[in-house]
Amino acid sequence: MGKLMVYYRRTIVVICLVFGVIGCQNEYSSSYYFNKQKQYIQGSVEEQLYLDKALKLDSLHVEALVEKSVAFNKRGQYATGMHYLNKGVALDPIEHLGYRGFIKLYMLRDYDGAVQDFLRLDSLTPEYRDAPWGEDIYKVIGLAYMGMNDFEKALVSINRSIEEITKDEGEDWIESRTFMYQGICLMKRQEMDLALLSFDKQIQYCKECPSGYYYKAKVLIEVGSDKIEEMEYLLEKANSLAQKGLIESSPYFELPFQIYLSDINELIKEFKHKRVNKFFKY
Amino acid sequence: MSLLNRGFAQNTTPHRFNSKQKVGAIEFDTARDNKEFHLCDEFNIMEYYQTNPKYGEGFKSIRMYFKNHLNTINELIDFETGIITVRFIINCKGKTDRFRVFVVDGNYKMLNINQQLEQLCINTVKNMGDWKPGNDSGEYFDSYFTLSLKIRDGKINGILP
Repeated sequence: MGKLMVYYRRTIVVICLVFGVIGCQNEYSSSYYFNKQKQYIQGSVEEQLYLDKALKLDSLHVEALVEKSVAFNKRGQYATGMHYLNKGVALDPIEHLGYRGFIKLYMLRDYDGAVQDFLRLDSLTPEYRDAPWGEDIYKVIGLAYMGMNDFEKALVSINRSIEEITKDEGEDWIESRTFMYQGICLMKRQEMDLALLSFDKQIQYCKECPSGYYYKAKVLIEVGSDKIEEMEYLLEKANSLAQKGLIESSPYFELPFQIYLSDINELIKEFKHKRVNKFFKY
Repeated sequence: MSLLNRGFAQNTTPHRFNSKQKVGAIEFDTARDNKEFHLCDEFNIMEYYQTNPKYGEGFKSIRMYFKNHLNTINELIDFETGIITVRFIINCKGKTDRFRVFVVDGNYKMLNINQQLEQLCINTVKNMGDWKPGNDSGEYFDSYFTLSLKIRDGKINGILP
């Protein structure tokens, strides 16, 4: 009888455990509703409904909090968006500081806030190089400093990004615009020869990006170079690529230091004007 | 992160679904909105990042337009730091209406601003004139657009996004 009772109790415990595990995914669990919302379009009534249900059952469901923030931040409703995102970051800073920094850097142009988030993330993960939203952390820190017009600090960070990626993965793993940002920092510091090398690198890794040709031509024009044919080539190349619609852009926001076709045309005008007025060394 | 990547991939092309109650939807309000403003498909209003409506050349043109209005708006700003956002619809013909204003302070908390400033922001965006409507594969869509004025030291110091 005693053995039977032990067996009976164990069976009950096993049944409870099995139902407990299933219960994690049943319709009364936060995870169930969080997974359910994935079937729906971001920001839709259904998506929001299931996220709300997930959060009602578990107000600390980090992924649900962050997902809830996305549509609001993308649609300019920052009070609601940042309310949820801040909660998510507070609960799991290592996983979500990078995303918040990304939003602050590119969408809100809150450069101080972005730097703080990226630096904090970096300090929390000393054993590896983070990649907020797929971009190297030292590149985005550099970009945020550029936004603050601190080109000294920006250059230090961008150089670090380039050096470490080159060492760890190889130079061809560096996103080509990183060289453009490096070149712009060098231009701001009047280190024009080095800036030219950066734009050469950008062109090397993105032959179809008008910005590399544009910025290289800009430097040569600014210093009054005697390389007339090269300047003509660079401007023509930038113009023809831009005409083909190849100017780098994002559907969400204006890229930092984004160029426009009219910028290229204005530079062509400046070039012609300076040429007529014999500004260039021959 | 894969969760967020999903959002990016999914949302840069138009999807037809009832968009009337989605996040950021703007319902017609008889007191505020223009009765003559027509939508091609009121159930499928896209977001700007799905259909890319444009003002002139893009943000450069928007910045140039605002240059002439900065001083007037700055005069009415009575807070130090924050973001004034004007959300509106650009219909499939490039006309605009249904303007709504959302404001946050430097900590991204909701902020109430004076009525005059709110109306000036709306009028400034309203007076921009026609836009190139959003399109995808040659099909024109009604689209929501969001223009934000970044305020620092009581003045506009950037136009987002």
